[in-house]
Amino acid sequence: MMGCQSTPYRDDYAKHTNQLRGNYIQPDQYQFKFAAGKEIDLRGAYSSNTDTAATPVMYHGGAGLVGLALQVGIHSAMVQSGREGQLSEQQQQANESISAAINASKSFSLTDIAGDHASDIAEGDFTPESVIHVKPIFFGQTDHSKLSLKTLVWIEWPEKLRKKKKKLKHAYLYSNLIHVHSNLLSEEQRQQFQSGDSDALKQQLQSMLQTSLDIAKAELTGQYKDIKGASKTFFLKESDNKKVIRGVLVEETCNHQVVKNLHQWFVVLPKGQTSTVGNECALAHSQVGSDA
Amino acid sequence: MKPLFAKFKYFVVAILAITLTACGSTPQTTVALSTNVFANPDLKVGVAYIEPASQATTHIYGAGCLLCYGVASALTAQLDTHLKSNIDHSELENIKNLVVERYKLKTKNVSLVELPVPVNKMKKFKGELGFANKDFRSLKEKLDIDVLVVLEITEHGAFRSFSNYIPNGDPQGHISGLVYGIDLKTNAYVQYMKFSETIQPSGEWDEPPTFPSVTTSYYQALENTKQTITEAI
Repeated sequence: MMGCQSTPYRDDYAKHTNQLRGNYIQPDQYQFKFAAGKEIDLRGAYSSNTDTAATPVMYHGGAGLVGLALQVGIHSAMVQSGREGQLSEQQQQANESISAAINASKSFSLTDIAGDHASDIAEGDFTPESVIHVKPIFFGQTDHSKLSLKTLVWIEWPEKLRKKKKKLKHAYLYSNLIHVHSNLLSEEQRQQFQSGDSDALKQQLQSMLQTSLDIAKAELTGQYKDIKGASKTFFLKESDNKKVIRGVLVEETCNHQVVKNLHQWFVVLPKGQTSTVGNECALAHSQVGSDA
Repeated sequence: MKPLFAKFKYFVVAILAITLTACGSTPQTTVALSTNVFANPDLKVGVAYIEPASQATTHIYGAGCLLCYGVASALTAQLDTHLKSNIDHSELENIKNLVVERYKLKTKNVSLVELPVPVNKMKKFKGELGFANKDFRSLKEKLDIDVLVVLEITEHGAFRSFSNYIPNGDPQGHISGLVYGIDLKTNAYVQYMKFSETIQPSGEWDEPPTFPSVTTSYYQALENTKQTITEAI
């Protein structure tokens, strides 16, 4: 029955661990690799609700204690299998909705959109613990209203400890997730996303990837180590609702807020609702300049 | 012996008939807020808040036997401890304040009131659908108001659905309750709305001791409820 406790496995999820104990990486020694290769991983976003309908089962009373345990085990496996099947089906349907964009994303690679961070990509021979492992997974809403990026970041234990991985309390020396949300796309951007315009898509994905790599570097070089405070509610406007993020504000620019949420993940919230924010920001800067 | 048996039979049939008749009563449906009552500029509205009877906890549904319920409670025990110690009633107070603020947009005389007796201890009122089943009319003089608005939060914390021993899914952030307004002259509803929000946590839920996913989904349920109330008033 304890097996029924678990949520079906998803690879876009990381449990936060920080066993660096203050030994942050020196900026000049910072190097990372894309853990799953250079290919862009773009998926349709889908509801994570895996609740299945109730499955009433009559347990046979005369089967004894072992029989009861067996019957409960079978019932549990049925429910778990239903939940995993639902998740897989939802992912498949969501991918079909953005298939044009998925095809377009195959025309460029992660290194093409890493920007300034391309110089931090590890080259040559290196041990797994000497680099930061980065796995970006992009998501597109099935109504083409926005994009998001979940970047999983982790550091392996040194080899000696890695062999004892099963005995360690934490699977990694450091592991976390950075979730970057784009602004709600304008009508023109939606059309481009829907039709699979690779140049426009590349620009959107590049902006999100660079933001997540900026945050990974800031975190692992110790720039966020003193961030503390009481959790507050932040909001993320989506096309049909207002999503709640609980956490502590880590950084604020004129384009976005970086919030460390209850999972200790970094969540990037765009400040405006459309891509005109950049202009507003520039305008605000020019006004400040003229006031001064 | 036979007459005694016949009497017993009629007694059982009568009890069954009464019980089944009660089951057959139509539940009150949603009543959209009537704007007519606010035509009177001097209308006095009192808002009463009934907080949940228990602390934030996991509300279990579908565990259909005593042993099943025991197992279900054991599976959510750690989450219950977290909810009880980390979620207080302060956010619920914000919902109460929201109801007051929304009514203040309709009329100027809005105040918070305390009910002199709990609703379930009030006299019954025999009315049709659209009328409260308790008699609130005496509160018109006692509280010096024309319309009583009641916000009642019945459950908050998390919700988990079971098929006997087996959970059908993860615990979800949850809040439920109702908002209703009563014209104290007639005991008719000027508004009646039930709300129930259950929000699926994103990703893994079973992360003790802080259960970040379920906690966040609880706050999402609160915000959705505020939105529902804002739209309704």
